[in-house]
Amino acid sequence: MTDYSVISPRVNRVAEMVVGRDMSLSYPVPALINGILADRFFVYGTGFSKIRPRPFAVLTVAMDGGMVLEYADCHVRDFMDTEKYPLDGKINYTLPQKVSVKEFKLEQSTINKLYELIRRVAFKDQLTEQERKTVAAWYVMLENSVPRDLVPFYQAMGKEFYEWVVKYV
Amino acid sequence: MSNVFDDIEKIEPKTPEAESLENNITPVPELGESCEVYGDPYELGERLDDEQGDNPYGAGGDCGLVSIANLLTTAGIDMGEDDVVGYAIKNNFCTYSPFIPYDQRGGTNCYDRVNLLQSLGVGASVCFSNEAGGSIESVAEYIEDGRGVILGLNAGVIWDDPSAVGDGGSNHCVFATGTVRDPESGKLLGITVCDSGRVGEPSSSNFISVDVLRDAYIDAPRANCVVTDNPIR
Repeated sequence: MTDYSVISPRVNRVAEMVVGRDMSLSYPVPALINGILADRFFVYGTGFSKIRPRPFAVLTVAMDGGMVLEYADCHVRDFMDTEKYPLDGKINYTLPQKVSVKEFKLEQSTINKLYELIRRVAFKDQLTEQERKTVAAWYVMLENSVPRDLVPFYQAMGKEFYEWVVKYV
Repeated sequence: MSNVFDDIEKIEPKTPEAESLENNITPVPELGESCEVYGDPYELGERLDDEQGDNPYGAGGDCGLVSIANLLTTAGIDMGEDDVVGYAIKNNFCTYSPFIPYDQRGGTNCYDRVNLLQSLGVGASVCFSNEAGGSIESVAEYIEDGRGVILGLNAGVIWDDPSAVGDGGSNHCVFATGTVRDPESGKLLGITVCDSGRVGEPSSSNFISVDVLRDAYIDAPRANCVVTDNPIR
C-alpha cells in the first residue's frame, strides 16, 4: 500500500487536470472496488461565497500505486440521491465551528494522519481496541470539521465504509 | 481589441539590467525593521490592479486573469483586467458562463494561465510547490531575476480567514512583486505580492512571510508558480 502522503499530491494533480478549474477535493474515504482498496474523494467547486453548488464528481484512486480507477461526473452517474440533492442545487459551506486558520490546518493535518492509519485497517474483519479508537477518532473529527451540508455527501460517497464502521467500530 | 494583441508581439521584454533590479534598503511595515527589498514593490504596486471583479463581464473569480494583467503591466504591456478577461473568455482560457455564480466566472488554473501568456507571446511554464523548481527560494530567485511570477496558493491562509481555506489547496492567485531579505544574512523573510482578492482595501504590495508561505503555498495541494521564461523588468 502506498502512503497517502505520497498519493495525495498526485491525486490533486490528476484531479486538477481532469476536472479543470476551480476545484476542491474532499477528505478521502476508503472504498473497496472489486476487491481493490481505494481512496475515494468527491469534487466540489472553489469559491469564497458560503452558498455554492453541491459536489459534482467522484474520483477513486487505488491505495496501492495511486492509479485512478474511476472519475465519475455526477451528471452521468450520481453518488448522491439526485432527487433529494438536485445537480443544480446549492449547499452551505460554512464551517461547523469558528476556528482560526492555524486550528483549521492543524485539524486537517490530524485528520490526514489518522486517515493514513485507517486505510491500513479499513474493511478488516477484526480490529484491535486501539484500531477501533483510531477509526472512531477520525470519524468524529471529520464530521466536526467539514461543513454540515457536506456530511451527507461523505456518507453517500463512502457508503460501504460507513456501513463497515457502524458494524465494527 | 485585435490591435492590442498585435502590439504585444512587438514588445520586447526589458533586460535584467533594467534599473529596477537595483535593490534598496527600506522598512517593511509588517516587520518593523530595515530589510533588503528587491523589486521596488511599493512603487510598482502603484501601477498594479489590486481589485478583481470590476470588469464589464461580471467575472468575479478572475484573480488569475488580474494577476496576468499585472504581469503584463510590469512588462510594459498595456493590457488591463478588462482586456485580459475579454481575451480569456473569447479564447476559452477561463471558466465563464452567465449562469454560474459571479465568484466562479473568470476562474483559471495554472495551465490556463501558461497557455494564455504563451498565446500572447510571453513564454511561461508552471512549477508545482512540491517540485524542486517550485520551492519558496526558487520563487524568490525568479522574482530577483526579473521574471514574472504568479503564485497559485491558499487564500484563507494568507488572509487569515478560515472561511476561505476550502480544502486547504490552491484557490487563489497573486502576482509576486518583490522579495524581502535580511540585509545581514541574506535570508529570505518573505515576498511582496499584489493581491487582487482583498477587494475594498489597498493590497497592491502586501507582504507574505516565509512562515505563511509554507502553509499557504508549500503545504497547499495544487499550489503552483507560473513563471515567465525571460525577465519582464
